Amino acid sequence: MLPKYDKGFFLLLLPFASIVFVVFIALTYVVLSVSYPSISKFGTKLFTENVWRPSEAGEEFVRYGLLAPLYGTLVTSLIAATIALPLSLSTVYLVEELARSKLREVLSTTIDLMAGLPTVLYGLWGVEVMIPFIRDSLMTPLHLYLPWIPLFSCEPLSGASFLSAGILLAIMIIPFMHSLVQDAYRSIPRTYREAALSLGANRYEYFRIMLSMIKPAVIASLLLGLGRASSETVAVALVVGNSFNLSPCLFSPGYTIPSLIANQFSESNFYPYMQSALYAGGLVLLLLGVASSITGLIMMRKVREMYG
Amino acid sequence: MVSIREVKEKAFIAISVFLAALAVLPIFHILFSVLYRGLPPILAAGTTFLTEAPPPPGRGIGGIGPSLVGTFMLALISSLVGVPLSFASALFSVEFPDNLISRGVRTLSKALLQIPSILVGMLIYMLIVIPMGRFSMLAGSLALAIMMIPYVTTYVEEALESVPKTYREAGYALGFSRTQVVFKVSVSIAKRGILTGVLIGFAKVTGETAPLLFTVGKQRQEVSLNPLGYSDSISLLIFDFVQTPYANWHEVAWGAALVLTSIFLAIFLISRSFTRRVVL
Repeated sequence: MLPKYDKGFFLLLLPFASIVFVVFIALTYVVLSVSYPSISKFGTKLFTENVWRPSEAGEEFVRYGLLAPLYGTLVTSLIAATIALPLSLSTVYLVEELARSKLREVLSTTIDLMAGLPTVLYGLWGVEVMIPFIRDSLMTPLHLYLPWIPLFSCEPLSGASFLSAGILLAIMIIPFMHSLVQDAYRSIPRTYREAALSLGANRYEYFRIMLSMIKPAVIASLLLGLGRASSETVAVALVVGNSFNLSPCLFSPGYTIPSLIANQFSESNFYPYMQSALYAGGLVLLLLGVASSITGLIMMRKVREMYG
Repeated sequence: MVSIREVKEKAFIAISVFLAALAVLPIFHILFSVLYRGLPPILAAGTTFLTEAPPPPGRGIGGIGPSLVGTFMLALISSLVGVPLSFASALFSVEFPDNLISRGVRTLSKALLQIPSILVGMLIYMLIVIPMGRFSMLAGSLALAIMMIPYVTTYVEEALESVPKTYREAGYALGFSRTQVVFKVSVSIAKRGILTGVLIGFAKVTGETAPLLFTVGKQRQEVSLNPLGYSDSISLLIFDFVQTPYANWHEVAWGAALVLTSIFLAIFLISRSFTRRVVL
């Protein structure tokens, strides 16, 4: 039982502290209730079909299916996480083990800067600078020399594509994954490090042993990185090409759920069920976000418990 | 004789240095590009770039005045809403750590960090924009406030928790009440950390775009200070202008990017000087 003045303080702060609950419940309620009409009308087809047929003429012509943006979300974030993992592990190694104090300072400032830079700047750079560059130096050669591989089978036209979005997302999630791995890495007790070194491990073996000790954190950073990548909106909307496309080719333009919403939301009022279908996409994002953050948090806690 | 182990080690070091360089290289290229492509339009327009309205498509540079003012107004109002809320909720979870609500607050604010920012825009659209019948600066600010709360809360929590227990005990020993200990001891010791959190929240909302897409109304022709009226932000202007086919709007977008980057870097460096480690 809290003393009396404590109770007053407790009750005074309580409503403010509850704001995150309110936001969460409101979000869940709004997303569920607005998406309900389209889910009940189209059923599971809303998530398994690739159609986007708005119609003002009548409800019987309307059909929506989110398969293409779901596919795009998955593909772009997988590319991003695959690229970002080795890169962020390297930055952790450099900052924690290899770099001397001056370089370490510069590196970690740079990574912090990357984490905070407004995402629209990544998007602007992505569409105006990065895309022309990777189209000419990466996509076109791959398509010319390896066209029989389905991933490279289509000609890169504008350059806005799954691959461009994946690469840009990778750049954007590196600092995030870096800081997750770094936190875990720092929690490894000194005695374990000394033990590895006293056994005569060289730098490579040492880092492998250290990584194996924080494996859950590495997996968590991968999951949370995937979650981050799948929810990014404006930068992706600028580089992914925005078209309903299920092609296995990485050079073809596509959609992700956030970029679909960013593009179509403003007109969605004029068409029956369109807004509701977009909120159904939002529901998927909400579930993905909650699932990835819960799994990630559980795995991070595991590491913390391992080393107390 | 070089052993296979040594070769592996050398290769490992070379690869990690290469990959780490690859990881941080883009940010330098981004900053370089922003300066290289953003400076000419700003120099061409002069100081009017910060005051004028954007040009018509196809002709001239004009400026980003209304969007710049909008950005500051949005950041200001959202901080006025978000900072006290974050501060109170951080205080709550630090002062009363072992109850269901505090644990819930911690978990949920971490989960909220993972929630797509565009969903916050969609939430405010339904809760504020539809009932009000129009887009507004207020709606945009509330969306941004929701975005900043988990960040600022986390920072303030960390700052308050870093205050050594003995200092607080000393406070109690002097006969302070809990409220006095909190405000006279904890908060004043953790001042810098708290300020960093506030600055980071501010920086975060200046650059945020997605929650504003369907909340503020994109008023970029004239400066508006009315919280219930339309507004705009620099990031939104960049997002819209770069998607148009007009060359002069692209130039405005790059100029705006340089302005946004400068604002961001200024806040970043200030908060960096307060505390060593800053993660936005």
